[in-house]
Amino acid sequence: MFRLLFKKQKEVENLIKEYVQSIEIAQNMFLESMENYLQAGACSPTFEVLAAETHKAESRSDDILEKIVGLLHEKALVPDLRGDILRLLETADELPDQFDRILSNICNQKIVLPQSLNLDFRELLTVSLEACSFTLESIRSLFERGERAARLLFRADQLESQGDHIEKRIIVRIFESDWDPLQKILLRDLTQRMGDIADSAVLVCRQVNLIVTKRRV
Amino acid sequence: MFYLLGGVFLGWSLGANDAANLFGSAVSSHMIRFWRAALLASLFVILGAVLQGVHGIETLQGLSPMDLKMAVLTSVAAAATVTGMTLFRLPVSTSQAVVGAIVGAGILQHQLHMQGLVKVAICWVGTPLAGIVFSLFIYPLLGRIYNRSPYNLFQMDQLTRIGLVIAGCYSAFALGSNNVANVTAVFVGAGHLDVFAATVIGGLSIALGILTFSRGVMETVGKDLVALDPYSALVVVLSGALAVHVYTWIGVPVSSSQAVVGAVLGIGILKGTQTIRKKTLLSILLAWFVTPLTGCLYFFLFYFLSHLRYVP
Repeated sequence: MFRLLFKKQKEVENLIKEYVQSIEIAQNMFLESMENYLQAGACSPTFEVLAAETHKAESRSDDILEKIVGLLHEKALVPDLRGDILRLLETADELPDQFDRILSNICNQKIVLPQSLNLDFRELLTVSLEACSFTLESIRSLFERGERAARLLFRADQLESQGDHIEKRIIVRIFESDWDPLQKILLRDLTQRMGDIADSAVLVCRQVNLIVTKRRV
Repeated sequence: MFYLLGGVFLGWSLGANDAANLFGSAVSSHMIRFWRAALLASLFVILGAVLQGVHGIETLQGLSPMDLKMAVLTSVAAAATVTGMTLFRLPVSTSQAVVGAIVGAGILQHQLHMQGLVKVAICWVGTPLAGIVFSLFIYPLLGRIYNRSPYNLFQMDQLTRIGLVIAGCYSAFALGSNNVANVTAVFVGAGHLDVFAATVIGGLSIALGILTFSRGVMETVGKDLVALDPYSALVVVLSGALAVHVYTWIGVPVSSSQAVVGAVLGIGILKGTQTIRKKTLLSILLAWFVTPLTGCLYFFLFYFLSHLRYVP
């Protein structure tokens, strides 16, 4: 009955769903790249292909974001919601950017991960990407009537805090070692960037929760 | 028809000033284009005036007997009050200006219907109160429906937008039905217009004000309402319209701005926040006294001027 009235809204909804999907693709490519990195080391041919695929997914998400911004500026939503959605998507855009940046840093700086850090890094990767999955789920929850946003924020928050502990542990181990100081700094940066993924994920979840809470009468 | 000019001018300024209460929030937030809003508002103002404007006309024409000269002086005094107070940026209500001028005519003729006047004064005080009561009642009631609706955030956003347009149309209808009496009631009292013609001319002059001079007010004053969230803005427009419409049935022209201020105040009470500045509340109190007094004084002035004779 309301299909005609909701035409522009539906367009925005579909584009946001597409956008979330593109971040998910970037996330999966990033995971595969990192798995490859943890197994085969930096700059293997497969890693480069996977990193390029991640970059493509990141560019695609940028393109979709641009389309959404254009549509929103054509006054597709009430200004209040328009502003909130724009802020949310701009924050979410940090995620594919971070995936791309981490992979290109590994490749460009030829960062070699010592075998002793492999397990810790894998753990940090899992926790960060799990938080990221909750974030994407949280954005999707905007398209339903449920109240899942708060629950998803809580889970993402827990994972972020877990990620912080792992990050701290890895950095302590890096600086307790007798590796080359330059390698230490590169590894520290890489660890911090991996930890940043969960931080950004929580920021997005918070914004989703805020959007939902603001509109509760 | 020359004698109607004062009334038409009054209707024009009423339309230009009060349009912000109807579609201000929707236009200033770009939910609806100005011209579409202005056309809808004009249409519903005319409909309201023609279909339900008779009640207010009966009340105002009963406040004091009028001949044509007195009717013209009354409408010109009210128009001068509204223009003067607007120029000096003082709070003004057209209804209060008109009643003030009618009281001036009544005093000079020693014929003032005190019972009707008391009814009008009580309704003025009751206007913001009605706005408060309606928003206190509508906000949680609509909120329950809003929270339980099966629609998602984006669909609710669109429904709110449509709701604001519908509320704006209803608000325009209420304004037309209530305030048309301010424009032409005195001429009905003077026996120079029948009620139907009075409602048509009154409605058209208010619509003219909306179409020709309300853009600036809609786009700027409306932003005060948008400071509220869209749902609250919808409740405010709807509550203000209901408050005005109730007084249409009672038959007393009231200020739509004061009804809206009351509704915003009601939202503030519910949310525990200060939505209205003390200055705004004081300005309403001031308007209750200053506007009718100015209308009355202007009437005396014009009456005096109309009796001056040139002696060579």
